[in-house]
Amino acid sequence: MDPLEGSDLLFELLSSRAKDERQGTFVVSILRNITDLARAREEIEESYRTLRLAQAEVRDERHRLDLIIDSVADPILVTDPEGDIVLMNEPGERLFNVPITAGEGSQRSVRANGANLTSFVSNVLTRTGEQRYRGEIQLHDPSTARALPVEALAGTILSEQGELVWVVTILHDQTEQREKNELYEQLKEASAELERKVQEATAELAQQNELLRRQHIELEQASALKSQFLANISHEFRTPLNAILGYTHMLLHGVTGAVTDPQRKSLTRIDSNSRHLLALINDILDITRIEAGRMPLNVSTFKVADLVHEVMSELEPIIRRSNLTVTARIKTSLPQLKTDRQKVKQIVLNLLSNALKFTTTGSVTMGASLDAKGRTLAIAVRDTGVGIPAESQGKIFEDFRQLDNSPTRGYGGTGLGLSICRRLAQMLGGSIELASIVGEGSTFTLRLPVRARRR
Amino acid sequence: MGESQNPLVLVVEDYQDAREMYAAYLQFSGYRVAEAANGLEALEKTRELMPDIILMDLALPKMDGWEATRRLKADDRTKHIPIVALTGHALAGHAEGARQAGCDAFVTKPCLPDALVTEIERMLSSRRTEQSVARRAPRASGRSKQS
Repeated sequence: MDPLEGSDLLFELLSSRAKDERQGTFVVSILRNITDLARAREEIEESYRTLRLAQAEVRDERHRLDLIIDSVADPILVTDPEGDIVLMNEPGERLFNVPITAGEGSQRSVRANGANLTSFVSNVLTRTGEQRYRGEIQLHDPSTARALPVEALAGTILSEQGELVWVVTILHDQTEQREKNELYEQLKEASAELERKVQEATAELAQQNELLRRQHIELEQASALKSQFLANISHEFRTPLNAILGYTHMLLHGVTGAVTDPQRKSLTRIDSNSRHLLALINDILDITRIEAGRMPLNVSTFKVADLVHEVMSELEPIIRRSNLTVTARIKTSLPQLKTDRQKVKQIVLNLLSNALKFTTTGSVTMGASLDAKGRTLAIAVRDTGVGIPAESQGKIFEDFRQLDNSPTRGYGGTGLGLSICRRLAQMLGGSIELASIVGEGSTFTLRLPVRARRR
Repeated sequence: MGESQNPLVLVVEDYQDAREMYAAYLQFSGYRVAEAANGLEALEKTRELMPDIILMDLALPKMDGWEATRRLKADDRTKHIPIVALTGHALAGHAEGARQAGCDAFVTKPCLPDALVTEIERMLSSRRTEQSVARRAPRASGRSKQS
């Protein structure tokens, strides 16, 4: 204890036993004030601890820094002014450092990468005024030898004295960006291409439409021309036919003198063939007029019964010649028809004469009935004739169709009758149906709206 | 034209065979016949011969039957003569056109000679009734009509 200051003092005590021949054994003690010395030692220990702590902190700091830069996906490289790498992160290692065991190709890539980096850094150094330097370096991936377009961003780190200490370079792989750019460009191109194609297709479509429109007009004109042509032909046919029929008629009636029976027979053949030819021409003209829409509807109101009886009386000579029982059962209570009488008559006349033509024994029966709603009238002609096989029932409505196509045309007729009838029925908003069994007979049914619709 | 004479028919038709055929049958049926092959000739013959009736084909060279009919009907000297139009064209509109031109009747070719004579008789007799002028009836043919 310091008697003056009252503070603790530390003394070193050294004692040793001494033996004197004369005085015997004694102890010699030396006291040395070591208070300062101890303090100095404590301080030294303290500063040593501090140093150790600081070292640990630096290590930690370095470790953290390593972790941070390693966590960055882009390579980060720190180089000294000579261009030698002093620090780099994991991604950097992959480009600039490979194990000795790696292949020659990898080694070469690494050397080339290093040279390129050095050259980049030396460029940075020549631009001392600038804090940051941006450029592009061509590197290669050592593991795949693939070319890597890299963007390099460099910054310089100066000492307190302003000397350049390090250059920090961050590399950014442009491959993906470039691919994206390329993809974007391709996309843009494809989109433009698509738009161009759409425009082309639209233009083509418009052109096609125009073409179709023109073709439609041309077709209509052609169709009109065809109708006119057929009308003219029909006229031209009739002129000589008129003379043939006329002179035959005059010969048959003895205008130019008496004719023998064989001559009469021949003249009768000429007459019937000329009439057949005339019927053909008339039928063709009818079809032409229907197709050209030049057959007008003349609507009037009339009774079905009257019309049927009129038709029967017109065919009376044929009915009489046949051995058939021909009957008509038409109720007088049926409503009057309001439609084109002449066309209905033409259809019924055709159906009845067909029935007479194709029936040798039995009967032909005509009937008429109204449907439940009272809107459609059905006129049926039923015969006990040869009948029509099911597979042929559709064909008989076609032009120039008779099931017996033999040249003699055993049944006569133009083969156009039913096809005209069907067209006429359609004009009146109606239809013709057929039910038939071979050997038993056929029933043709004309269905008509009680009131014809203007079409 | 004396009443003792049979009626004179002017046959206007460019198709020779038909013209001569109708002429032959009309003569056979007791008519007197004159012939013309086109519209202009029809006008000349009509003014020259003043026929009782004209059988007029409509499709004719030089001047068609419609025009010849119009001119004859516009002429006070000839407008009383009945005209029967004769045409092979069955297309709608021809009958109406013939009526508008002034034709008194309309017959579609082919027309058998006897049917034509029947029509001419009908026209002439209705004229006679109208005019109350008695004329000697031509020989009737009375045969079946052409269908």
